[in-house]
Amino acid sequence: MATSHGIRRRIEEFARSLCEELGEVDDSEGDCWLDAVENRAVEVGDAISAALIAQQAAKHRPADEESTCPECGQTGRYRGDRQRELLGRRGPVTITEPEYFCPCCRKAFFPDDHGHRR
Amino acid sequence: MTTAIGVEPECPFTPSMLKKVVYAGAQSTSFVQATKDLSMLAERTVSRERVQRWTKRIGRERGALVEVLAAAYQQLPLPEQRRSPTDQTPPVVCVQMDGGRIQLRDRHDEPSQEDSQGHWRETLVGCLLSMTSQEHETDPCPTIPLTFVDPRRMADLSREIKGFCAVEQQEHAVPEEPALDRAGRPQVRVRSVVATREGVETFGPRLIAAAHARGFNAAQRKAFVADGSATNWGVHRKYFSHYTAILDFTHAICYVYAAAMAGRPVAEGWEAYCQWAQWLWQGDTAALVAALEARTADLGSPSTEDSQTCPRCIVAETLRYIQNQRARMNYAAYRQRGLPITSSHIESTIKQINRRVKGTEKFWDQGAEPLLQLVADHLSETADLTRFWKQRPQHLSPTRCYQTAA
Repeated sequence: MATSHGIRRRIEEFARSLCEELGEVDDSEGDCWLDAVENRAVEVGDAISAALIAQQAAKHRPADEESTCPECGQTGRYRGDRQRELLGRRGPVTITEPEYFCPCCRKAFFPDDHGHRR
Repeated sequence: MTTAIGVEPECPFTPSMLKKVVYAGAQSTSFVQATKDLSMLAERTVSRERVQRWTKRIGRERGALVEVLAAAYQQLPLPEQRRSPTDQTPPVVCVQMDGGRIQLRDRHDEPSQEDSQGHWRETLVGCLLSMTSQEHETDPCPTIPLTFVDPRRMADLSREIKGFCAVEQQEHAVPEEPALDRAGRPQVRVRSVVATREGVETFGPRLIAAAHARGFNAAQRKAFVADGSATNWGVHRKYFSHYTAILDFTHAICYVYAAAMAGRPVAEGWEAYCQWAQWLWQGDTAALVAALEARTADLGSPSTEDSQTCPRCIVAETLRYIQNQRARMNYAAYRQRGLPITSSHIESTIKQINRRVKGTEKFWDQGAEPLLQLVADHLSETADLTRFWKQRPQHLSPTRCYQTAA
């Protein structure tokens, strides 16, 4: 699991320093003190989740200049990286993926990177 | 990248969020309610349009897969159809089917295009139940359970199922007995559900293919339980003829109750009913038919001027029903073999489906079929939907649906 003993310890250290930095919780941020604390914790958790996904997704090799169109088999040209915003369980996440264009089909396509991300 | 991301280029959700959206769209009472549920439970804002669009899309994909499986089953040679494709074969299996109702309306229809049944149309629903039960040397429960000889309960049951009311209600002393489970009743292990509005020609192949996929066709004891509708028994004849045909006991007893009580004082009718019900429970259709014939002789044959609720029509209809269905009413033998005798599971499944699709305010067009598929999937305790989600990324098209400028 991602939260091994070592990582959990670092999360606790990070939480401790974050607590000191953020200071006292304002009760008005929730229905009561505990609600406000939970709201803050969830917000931080969501932000960590989004950052983790974005960084994990950014770890990919440079895109090839050309790729084979999955529909017609002709060669498509690399058009740059497409920023894709998806709604995830913990809020919006941004994924970057190389976009290619097939001049025959006149369609954009997003080929697999042959398991490089797995 | 599409396979790794796990959703198509135009999908606005991550795979696990898409699952939640589809779950809410299929399980909430409406798409509007689904957006509220997602907001409250998943703490995410998703518009009604997106919930609707993606729920229907996934439902269509599931429906297409089910159709492929049904077609593949039809191509199998007969010995293969009777074999289990899995390692495990359940000892007892039961297939139950019945019809549900939904309102369908083409959005381009004029109001005058309604026919006599309004917008109500039939859906077909099937339940596949793997079960456990013991076989017995004799009938493990030879006496009819008290629940079927409770006057108040029978009056309610008969009104609910057949719309029949006894002339007057009278309090009867019902023996105090705790509601015990009937001896020998089979226990359900795993349920899966098939539902469609595409008609019996689509439904039958899907139901038998689903039964085959779960190894039902190779089971030692197999039952097909349904009410007396001709559609049900047409499906049995065509696809499930190697399953023991069982008429739902609850429907049968409501007919018997109506006939016993028709045109008689309550006390007299009740006395006749108790005797007839016991015969029915034993599967003694000869005694039951003889009693109904005698009652028909007393009342006379119905004429064309009689209303459907007049006693002689009720008795004649029951007699006809019992005569037509008697081959499927050997209840003592079914209990001895540890088979189910009521279609209660399909009745409750239809109620669960209705919660999503049926309502006087709910009108469907092309969206009904994908939604029915997903509701059935979510009610199923098998891993079909889990497998679908796991395999879905492998089958996605990496191209955008629309063309872009060069």
